[in-house]
Amino acid sequence: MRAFAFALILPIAGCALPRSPGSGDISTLDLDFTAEAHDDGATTVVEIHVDSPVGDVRFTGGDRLTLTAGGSGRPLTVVEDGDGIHYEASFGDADGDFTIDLLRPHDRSITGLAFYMPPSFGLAAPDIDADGPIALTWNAGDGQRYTSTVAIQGDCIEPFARALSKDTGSYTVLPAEFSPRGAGGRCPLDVSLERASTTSVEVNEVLRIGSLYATTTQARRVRIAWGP
Amino acid sequence: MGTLKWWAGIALGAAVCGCGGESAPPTTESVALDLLNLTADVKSNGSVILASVKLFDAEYQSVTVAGGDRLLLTAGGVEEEMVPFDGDYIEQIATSATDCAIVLARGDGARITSEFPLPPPFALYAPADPASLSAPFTFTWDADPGEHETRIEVSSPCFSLIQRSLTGDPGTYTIQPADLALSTASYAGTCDVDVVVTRLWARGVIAAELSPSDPVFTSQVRTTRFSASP
Repeated sequence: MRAFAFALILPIAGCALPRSPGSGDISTLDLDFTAEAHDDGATTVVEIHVDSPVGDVRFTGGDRLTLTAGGSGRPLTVVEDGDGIHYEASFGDADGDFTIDLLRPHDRSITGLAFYMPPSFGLAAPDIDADGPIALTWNAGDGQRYTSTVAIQGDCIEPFARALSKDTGSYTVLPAEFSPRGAGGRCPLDVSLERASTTSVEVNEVLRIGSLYATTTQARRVRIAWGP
Repeated sequence: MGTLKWWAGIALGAAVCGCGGESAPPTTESVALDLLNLTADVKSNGSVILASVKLFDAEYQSVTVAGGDRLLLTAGGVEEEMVPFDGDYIEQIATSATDCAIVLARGDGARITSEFPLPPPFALYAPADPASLSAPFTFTWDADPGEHETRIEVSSPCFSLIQRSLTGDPGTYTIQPADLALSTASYAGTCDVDVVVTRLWARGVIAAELSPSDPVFTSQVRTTRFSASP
């Protein structure tokens, strides 16, 4: 009975743990970083989540999170929504290593936490006829640290996707490879090529505590008229 | 003690006369026709039709052809009795015909015929020029506008298996360098490349006397091999 009363009083007294605790109460070794970055050729959006055993972390008390991309510092905005708190940056086309630094006056700082954005490229919109192949061309890459996927969507076909084994800068898709949707026929198609990369590192390699997991995509989309 | 002997006698008798509760395997004589299921894999390479048939009852137990019944493969005017093999019945007929049927010939002379027409035959051609794995290579076959699917499988010790499924039948397909996940260990010298093109459709119809079934796929399969340089 006494335990029940205690449980009842705790929320009333405001003793529940905060959803986004201040960083001053959390050791650097308890921080896990998750980053997602997407570049559509015009705009790059980066979202960084910093998690701890007691929830999303709000940086306070002089702690400062920074992002460097394309050789330039990118201002981070704090975003709070129904899912918690995260940090977001938006800037133009960029590729290569993106770097997170966490500077802490009262605890260990983290610098040079890097994740990889695949190389930027341009995708050419092909001219096609109703039955001809769809020949795509783009700037070839070395494909060493990323995967490449061609995807084609339209109202008259089932979504088509093909993972490429090499990034040669060209790929041709035959209409016969599409599965018709509904009545089939011809319709405008959205053709995209996506280069994707994941990075998974330990923040402290000696203690094996703390981590960064990042997913990045460099995607281009063109719309082509596909019809008689 | 007398009662014990009595029970022992019953148990011994049951074992000797095979009354242990196990029922005899189902046969074409014991299973009602409308509960007899037939599935078949019928394919042609252009010169031989190969058929594999499985019979089973409503409880998915394999059914054996027994008594005076026989299971027959007919194609191109030839009829051969199918033979049991590893739980199935198989047979082949050397013919380029596309008419094919599986017949359950009953002891009383009745013939229960399931038709398995094959898709149009075709020839498959390897790349005309010497193939290179660093450039696109194209293989071709006789296109057909009919409503069938086309499946392609390209394999080699030098790269990972490539599989494609085409809704139509363009009669040509090109493997591009971006398709090739090269295996560096076996990538010295030339590579053998095997291409299998399968034309298939769901036009097989199980005899109305048997348990109802969806249409069954039949196929024409062609293979070719060529060498490709790095």
